[in-house]
Amino acid sequence: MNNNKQSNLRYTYFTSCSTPELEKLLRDDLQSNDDNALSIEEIRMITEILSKRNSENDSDLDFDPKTGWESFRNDYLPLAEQRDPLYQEPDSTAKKKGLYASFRYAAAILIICYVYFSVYSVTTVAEGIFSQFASWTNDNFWFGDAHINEADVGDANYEIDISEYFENISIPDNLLPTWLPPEYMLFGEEGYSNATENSYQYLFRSEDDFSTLKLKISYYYEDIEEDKTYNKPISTHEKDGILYSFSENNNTNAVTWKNGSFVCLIEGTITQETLMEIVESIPEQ
Amino acid sequence: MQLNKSTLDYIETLYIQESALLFHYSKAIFNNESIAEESVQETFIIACINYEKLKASPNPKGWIMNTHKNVCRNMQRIRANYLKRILTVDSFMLEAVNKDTAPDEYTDDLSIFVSSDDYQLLKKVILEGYSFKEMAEELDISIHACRKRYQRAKKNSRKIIKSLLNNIEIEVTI
Repeated sequence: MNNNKQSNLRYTYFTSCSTPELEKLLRDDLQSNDDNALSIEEIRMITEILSKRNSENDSDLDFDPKTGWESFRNDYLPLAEQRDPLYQEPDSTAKKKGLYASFRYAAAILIICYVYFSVYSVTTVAEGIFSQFASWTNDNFWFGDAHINEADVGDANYEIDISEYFENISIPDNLLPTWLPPEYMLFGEEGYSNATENSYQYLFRSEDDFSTLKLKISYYYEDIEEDKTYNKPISTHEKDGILYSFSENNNTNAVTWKNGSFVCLIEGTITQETLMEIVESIPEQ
Repeated sequence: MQLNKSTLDYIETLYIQESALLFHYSKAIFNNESIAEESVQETFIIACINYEKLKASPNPKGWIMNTHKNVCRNMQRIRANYLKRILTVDSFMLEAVNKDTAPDEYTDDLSIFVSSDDYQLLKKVILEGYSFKEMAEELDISIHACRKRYQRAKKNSRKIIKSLLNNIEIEVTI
């Protein structure tokens, strides 16, 4: 009953907002971190109000679901049947505005990860593709594409550049893995910044069964306890003076580690063995 | 992956129920009806691909809206990324044109690329807010073919920028 009352109050509030105000709420929500985001229920309330107002005002703005469905069947369903979304193109150097800090492009340290998922090639992925290409320079972490025939490469190339989101922060050489399972493709990212931490996470999805993988990198401005990000570990592994804690939660497994003021997390529907492979790919100082 | 009738019927029901809400969401985000409509279609492409997960969700409508939010975020990011790239390519071209000396062999490739149909397509999609469907209709090709040309243009734009920054010779596929 209490939830219904709260929902009703929220709905009443949203109906009192003007259309531009509601639209701004949606835009701000898209830029926000989780704590401040609108719930899905609230988003639906707002879009229902906007849709209703559009109908009542007899606006030129018109979306007819039946016409849209016909267009979907004729023009877009083939892409669905080929498992080939239009915008599945995880190429990431975007910056977040609003509640996220604004970062300038830092050239000092660049981490570029290429995940190649070949739609046409029959190349096996027994050995991690990352491990074939990683080479380190003094200033850059660089994953090269010298061995890839671009004609065979599908849409899965992506880059991550964490230097943008950790401005003026020295990123350790031995912070991140050089290998992730090559069947995972970057499909999203988000982050936030507040007085105590900068956090950014990259979300990956496998093409075969849409299992997910998350790589989260957090920088804490104050000292923190080691295990800040996940459940009680089931095992640990020490490498290069860094303690890696492995844990599990329902059908996901995770590994966390602390390196200086950074805490990293990799979590997903992958095995503990694969997580260990990922950890083993982190370079040593 | 062929979708059977029951799957399509399920998706269609959800589409008829939810697509208008999704459209108004992305219209607020993009302020562009074509892009808003295409974002709805993209959401349902993903819904088809992830049908099993959608069907198993305790809240399919919530699943759809959450997916749509991610689609919009992804589209925003991609457009922002490629805007930067287009601006870089165009600024290099402007510099080359303004030079008194004849363009060297690297800027010849740049000129070819900038004048190509693929690059113009990329600019229309990114700068002018055309949807793939609009571009496909304009060019009288399928959406799939339109997207392939767009992808080719984005790959070549990366090569161009890399070569110009590193002053190395590149090969551009037009």
